[in-house]
Amino acid sequence: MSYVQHAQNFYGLPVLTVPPYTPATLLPDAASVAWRLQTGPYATDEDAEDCWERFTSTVELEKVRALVLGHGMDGVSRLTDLRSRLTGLEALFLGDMEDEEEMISTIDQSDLAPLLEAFPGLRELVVRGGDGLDFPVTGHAGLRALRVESGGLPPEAAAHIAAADLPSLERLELWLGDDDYGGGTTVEQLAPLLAGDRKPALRHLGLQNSPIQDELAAALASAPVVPQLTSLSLAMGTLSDEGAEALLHGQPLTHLEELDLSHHFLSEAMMLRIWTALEPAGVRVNLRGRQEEDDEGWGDEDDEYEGSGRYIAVAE
Amino acid sequence: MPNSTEPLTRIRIGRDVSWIEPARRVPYGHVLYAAASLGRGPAAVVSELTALGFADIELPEVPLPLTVDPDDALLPKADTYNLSWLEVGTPVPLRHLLAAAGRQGLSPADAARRLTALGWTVPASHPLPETPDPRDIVLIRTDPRGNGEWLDWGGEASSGHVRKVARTLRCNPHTVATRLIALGIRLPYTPEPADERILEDPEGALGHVLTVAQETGRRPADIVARLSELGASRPGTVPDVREPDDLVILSENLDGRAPWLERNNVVGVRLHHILRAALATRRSPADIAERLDTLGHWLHENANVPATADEEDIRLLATVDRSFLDGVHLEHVLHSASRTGRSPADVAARLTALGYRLPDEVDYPEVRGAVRG
Repeated sequence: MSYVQHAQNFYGLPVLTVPPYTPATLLPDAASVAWRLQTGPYATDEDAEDCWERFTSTVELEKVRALVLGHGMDGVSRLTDLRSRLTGLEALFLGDMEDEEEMISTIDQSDLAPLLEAFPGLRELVVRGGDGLDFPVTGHAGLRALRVESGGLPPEAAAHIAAADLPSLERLELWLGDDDYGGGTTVEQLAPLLAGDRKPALRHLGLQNSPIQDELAAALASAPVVPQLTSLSLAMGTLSDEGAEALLHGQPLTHLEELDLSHHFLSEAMMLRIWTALEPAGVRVNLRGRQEEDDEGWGDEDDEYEGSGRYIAVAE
Repeated sequence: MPNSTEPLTRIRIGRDVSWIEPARRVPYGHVLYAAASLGRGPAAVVSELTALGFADIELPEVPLPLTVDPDDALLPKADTYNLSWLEVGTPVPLRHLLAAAGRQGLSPADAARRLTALGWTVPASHPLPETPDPRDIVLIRTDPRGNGEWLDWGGEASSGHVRKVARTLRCNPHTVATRLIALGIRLPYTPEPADERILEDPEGALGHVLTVAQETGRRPADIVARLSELGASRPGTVPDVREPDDLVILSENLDGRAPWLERNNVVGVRLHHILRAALATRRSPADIAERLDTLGHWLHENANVPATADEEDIRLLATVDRSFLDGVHLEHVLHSASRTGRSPADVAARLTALGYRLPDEVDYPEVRGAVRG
């Protein structure tokens, strides 16, 4: 199963991909769906400008609650231009593309500051792709859920999210990604987040898809943010027995409702230790997706880029 | 410094510019658009261009119109990446007519009349649709690559093309078929009103076939035969005699309605579905398995069907997404234990008894997870 798939539901609404050239009379009520706009990959497909023009001139934008922008739909400037009409917009998904449309590492994004400023009513934001992405440390007063899916989230963007003022944020999920694809976020860059600063409402934290998953686990073992969480995810990364051991020896995790460690490199013995330590306390532990270390890794011992033989779930 | 002749020789049209040079032939479309944008008659534009040294101006065989509506002046704009104008001496291709009609919000018939009035020839052999539908251009595209390949006047489309277009436009294939016929395109079958309902399920599931047969009073075999004529997906098996519970056990939600059970030819039907269906119909799991097998949904030979449908088994199997061909590993056992509140040892034992293969040599713990809420 690919982790990078088209959204079927978004913000509690079914996603409706606007079919090409289709007149508004054949489309549902503007508030009843999450609207997905995309263009096909061919020159003979409907032009992105025409698709956008048709959508914005025929659908009651004031009633639109959720938008999903897919292939061919560059988002931020189009959306900010429509701020006076998209007055009910609460949820936005930028870059909803699958691998065959565009690899996640090449999906262009941009500075989200103008977008967040233009839409104070935004409650949920999902961004796929990290190339060129930035996030304002000034944050957003109303945002409740933020997910950035990336094969390589720029460390500066991750640091800015970590430091951002997001007083209403309840769910934060960051796919940190690989250095080779623009990632490389360090534990230090996430310090304000781990300290529990500026996100008092945070209940779910996902620090995922990271090649330093063991380091993140060790940091979370004593991170002040953990007691305020009800769920924690270290999924999709390179978690090994070392990171799991740190979690077991760190601060109590038994207050959590869920601990997601899926896509991991734990031994069977460690899987059983984690499970028997936490499940009887009521923590639902996800240990699906056990991976086998690649014996050879890549590079050699003298190579500064020597691999561990453990790979994150989504990179290129 | 703008040139004083520019309103005639360089005209902006949206993102494009239509421009002409004295050494090259002036397209008639350019003349019309210049006339419309300047509010002059085409004859006056021709005179001015001639005076400016444009000797070769393309003109129709019919008299020039006295005036041109600006929207109509866009109709001869070719459906190409770079701006170009349709030659007035060339019959208008179907692709061009439908693209132009779609752009201008006109019906194909209306667009054809307007182009004809401007001097073009529209070689339709029968009346075109009077209702606009901007999707028409997609209906005649047979290959999206490059400049595309398009059906032209009187062309023939395959049933596969109809289904493909319907998927692109997310509409019923019958809608595509009837519109193609209206546009003069031939199909390998004649669309019938009943096709719309028959084609509602893209998978052509048996449950759908039986339902349509029941609604229409036709035999299921006739519905399947029609699906075959339409080139659509259809079930491989149709029962000779329908049983009262068939629709219930063929439906995913055991309510006798869509979504219908999808046939899996690799790993077969899920034991979970069989036990749920047994419980819903008060029949034995073996009985359900046998009937579903008759209906084309076989159960994998490794499965051990319990004598009775047990709620705990159903809850357990709801957490299992492994088939009888897959290994059920520690991670899957722990997942099921988490979801059911049973111990891993209990889960492993029960899954083994039901026929699953658990290859990991693990001492599954007896401790149970606490189920919250």
